[in-house]
Amino acid sequence: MTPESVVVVCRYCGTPNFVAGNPSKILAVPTLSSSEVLRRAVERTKRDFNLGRRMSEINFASPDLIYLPFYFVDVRLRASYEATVVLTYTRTVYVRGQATTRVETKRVRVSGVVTYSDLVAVLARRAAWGLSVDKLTSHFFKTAPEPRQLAEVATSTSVSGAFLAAELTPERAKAKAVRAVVPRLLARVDEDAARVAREETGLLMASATVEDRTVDYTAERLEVSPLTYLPMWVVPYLYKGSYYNYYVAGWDGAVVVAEEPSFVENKAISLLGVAAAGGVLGGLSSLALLGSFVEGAMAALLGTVATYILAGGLLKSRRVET
Amino acid sequence: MIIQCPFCGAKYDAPPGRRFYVCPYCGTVVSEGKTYESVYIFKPTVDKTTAFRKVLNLRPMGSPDDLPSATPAGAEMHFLPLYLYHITFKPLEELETYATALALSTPPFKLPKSYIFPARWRTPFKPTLERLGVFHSPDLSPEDAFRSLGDVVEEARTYVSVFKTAVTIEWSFEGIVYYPFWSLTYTYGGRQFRALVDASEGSVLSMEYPLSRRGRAEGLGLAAGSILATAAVGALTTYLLGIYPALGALGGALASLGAVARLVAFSASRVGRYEAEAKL
Repeated sequence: MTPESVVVVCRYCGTPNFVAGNPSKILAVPTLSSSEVLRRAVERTKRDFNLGRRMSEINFASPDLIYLPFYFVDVRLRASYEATVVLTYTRTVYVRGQATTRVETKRVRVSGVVTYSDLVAVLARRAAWGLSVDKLTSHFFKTAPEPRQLAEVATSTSVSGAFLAAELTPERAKAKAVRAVVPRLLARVDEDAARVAREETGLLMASATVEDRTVDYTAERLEVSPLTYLPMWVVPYLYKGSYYNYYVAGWDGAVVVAEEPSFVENKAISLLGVAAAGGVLGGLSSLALLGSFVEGAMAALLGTVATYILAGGLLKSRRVET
Repeated sequence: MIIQCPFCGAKYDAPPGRRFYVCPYCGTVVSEGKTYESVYIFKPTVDKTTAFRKVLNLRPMGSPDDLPSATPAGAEMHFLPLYLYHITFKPLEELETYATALALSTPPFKLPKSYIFPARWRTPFKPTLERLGVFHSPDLSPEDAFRSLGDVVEEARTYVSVFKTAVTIEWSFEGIVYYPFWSLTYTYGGRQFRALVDASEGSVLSMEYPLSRRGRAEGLGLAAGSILATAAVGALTTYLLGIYPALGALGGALASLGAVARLVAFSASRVGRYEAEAKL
């Protein structure tokens, strides 16, 4: 027994003993076997453009299973807002028959109501997350595998030892879900305020910046699923002696996150990125010599910053594919 | 003021007037007559040999091919204490979160910025764990450590500006988390280098490494390639705009200085540095 024990299968008679909560109220998605997960990982590697051509240099190690606990919270928030929107637009005016383009701004006070609904996956652990967990839940929503009762899934010692105990109550999961959704609700408010301001003024092509918004929201719907365990396999492989990991959804063997070496062709793409960004902005900077000094200097500065950032890709030894 | 730990019985000296007192021996927290014994220890699953193998085989850009033959010089497992908080934003009852803050004022090594602790297995405290690694006692109070959570304060500020209501951050202390790290040193070519490995899930968080001649040359070659490629695209851009291509080539070459500075700095550095980016 450890602090993580959710279900312990007796090594003598094989009976599962449920330690955490009522097993009939806990769900788990069944997983493929370790060998099947490995087979699908190998298949995926063969199909990969970069790795497939180097298959003979790749060796797979035995995968590790982790059952991660989630609550799925169905959230619907309704927000009423008031906001000041600054619209920036260009206008062509004629002075003594000469057309001149002017940049003008207009402040508009708008109000409205928006709703935002989402199904939010909340990992039932405190202060722990990661890219693979994020992608695993996205894949879960896309593929919608059927969860079963925990007792039907945790039937062997190898699987029962893979469960991580849940640390949150459903109430706390609801609050975490609302917190996750609030920034998206505010983004929706900004979009709506900009749209309303454009429509009210008829400046449909104007760029909009939302200033000084006041929002009041209510949770119209907040429903939480039973605790649901999702299987994730970590499949390590070695390329020229160096370890990389695949993070695999256990129910269908899909690789949700792949850590891969950065090959010559990846570096070539990074170099092309440096050349494209730096070349175009650098080319535009030559306008400085033809009179548009400020624009030219800005383009040169942007180009230098862009190439500095993009050169980071040339120095990477590994990359992440999702 | 002398406090006797209600859990292990040890006596320790502490300044009066604090909300929390942390036993320097067992980590038990006492506050306002209540005892918090919630000590979570993450299980070390990576042994010293595997940790070294992962570091020396990582092959960061510019490292020598024979780096796996470097000599391991030292390995220490450190269990770093983190305080775990449950946070609410009053009066916004629907919003709450958890956060962790390092409970040490001077950690033995630098952790990557905004390090996310992966979801992995916890283990009960056993005396054998103390033989395995160094358990660092918290030297910050939970109040002091909480001040390092700038993003929580920033979040509350956002709520104040958006919801036009006074928001107070309220936190409760949930316990201490001990997280294991391997702090490694190895020698290559008579020089010593350091590395840090997450001992719970095995990823290399950071490492210093020697730069090979080939690696330095590769950096300089990429810098030269960047100048030529950006100059060519710059010339093409100005040609399409109907301006002298030579001017565009010059502008492109100037814009490539950012990349050149980065690549030349890499080639000229005494030690290569790798830092894990995304937390998987």
